[in-house]
Amino acid sequence: MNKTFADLGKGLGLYRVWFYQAYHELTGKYRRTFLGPFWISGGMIVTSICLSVVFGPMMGGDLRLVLPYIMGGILCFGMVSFILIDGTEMFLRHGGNIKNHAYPFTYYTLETMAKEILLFLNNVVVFYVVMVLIRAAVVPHWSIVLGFAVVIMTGLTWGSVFGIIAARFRDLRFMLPYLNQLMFFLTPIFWRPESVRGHNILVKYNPYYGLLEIMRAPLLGEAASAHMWYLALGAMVTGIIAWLVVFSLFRRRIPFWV
Amino acid sequence: MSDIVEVNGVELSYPIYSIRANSLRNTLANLVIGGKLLKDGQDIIHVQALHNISFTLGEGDRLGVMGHNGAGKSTLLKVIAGIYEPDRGSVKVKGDISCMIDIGLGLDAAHTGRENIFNMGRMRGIARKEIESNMEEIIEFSELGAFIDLPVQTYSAGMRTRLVFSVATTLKPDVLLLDEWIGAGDAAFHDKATNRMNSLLENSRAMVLATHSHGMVKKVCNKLLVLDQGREAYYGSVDGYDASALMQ
Repeated sequence: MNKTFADLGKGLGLYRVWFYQAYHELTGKYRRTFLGPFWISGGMIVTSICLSVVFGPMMGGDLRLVLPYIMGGILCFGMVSFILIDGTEMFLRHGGNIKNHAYPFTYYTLETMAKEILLFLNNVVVFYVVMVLIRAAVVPHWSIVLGFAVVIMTGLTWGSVFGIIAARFRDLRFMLPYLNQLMFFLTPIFWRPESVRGHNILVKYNPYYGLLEIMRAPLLGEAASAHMWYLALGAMVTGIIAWLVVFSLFRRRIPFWV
Repeated sequence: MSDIVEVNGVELSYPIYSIRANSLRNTLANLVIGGKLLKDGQDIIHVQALHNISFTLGEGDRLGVMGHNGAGKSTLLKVIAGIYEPDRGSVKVKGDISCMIDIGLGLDAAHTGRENIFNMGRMRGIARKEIESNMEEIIEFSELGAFIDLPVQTYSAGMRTRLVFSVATTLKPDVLLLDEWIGAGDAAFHDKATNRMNSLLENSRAMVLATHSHGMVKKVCNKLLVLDQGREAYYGSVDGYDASALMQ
């Protein structure tokens, strides 16, 4: 357990390295493109508009209400997707470095998260540009700061747990991102929770909904309900416990697994 | 007399996974069938890579590690570097380690040579200011000239090697870990590289070199550890070892 915290301490101490490294990877990928990282935001805009056009009429129709809800949902779901998409790959894709350099393992987790946060901030700017254009911009509720922190913490912990397991069992590398895609459909992102009165398990016990809503509701100017906070905090606390157990037990196996 | 590197009773075995053992299906099947598939489903081979290895290095010690392929030389280096945690035993190192197992750390072919110097330096824990103050010297040493501002993907293999070598040897480490002696580039650069390696060696407080070359060990080391299938076959002074024994 001591070594677990030592690893975490060393990882945090390397903040300069992972921050720059995340920035480099992100900007390097879009070199010689005209729109750069806005390609990702472009995808977000196009997807939200398409979903709004198709599902908007079912939700009441007014684009100024539907588009912020759906685009905010996709924006925030990006952060939540860290757990199953970026988390799964975080150790596998750095296999070369892990095998040859004595970096703390938390370094890779933090670098991956830094990249995700930079992407999110980039998308937030685009989100507000669109909101201003359709005259639907609102001041976010203060609790978005807390929500953001809880989602980051959940991503770091559950993300590295899945990263370790996916390095050991390679099938998960393909299964977990697929699971994430399923959650995109099963979580109220482009549909309203009221519309599934019969199957409210997706609303009541879905941790993804909690994590999404503690960010999206404040983003749209409202506080999330207490139930959403319970779901999200539950995910975070179990994540911390799972991380402490899995990381302490299997950390030293990672170089042999990746 | 303080020890700089202290390796004490280190044991390490590592698992090698077959495709089957990596598959979730087989592992689940094993759980369900109560381990009946264990024989051909769970193909994990445990390799005992290091067996009860102990040594200490003091100020100025240079240890050569020799052995056949697969004897555990690289694994030992990785344990000292902290990449692998030993199963049993302990490794204590005082000071900064410079591990030259993969000297290309941080090289990104899409970026220019100059950006890569910053990048590679940062990943090795060198502060930006220190890189900046060493920048001209690194560029001059690498003999890249105007190429330094072009993307690394336009470089020839030799130019790439010179860039990586120049950055990797700029550090002033306490403990130097080398997997094979590093030489670089064409004949003209070779002499420079040799001189640079020698000065790096003089500036380090302790060094471990894993190599196949007994000649190299004789030239630069004062201690020798010979490994045979992860066990210590010889440990002592370089002169006291009969090299013909390794040939058996």
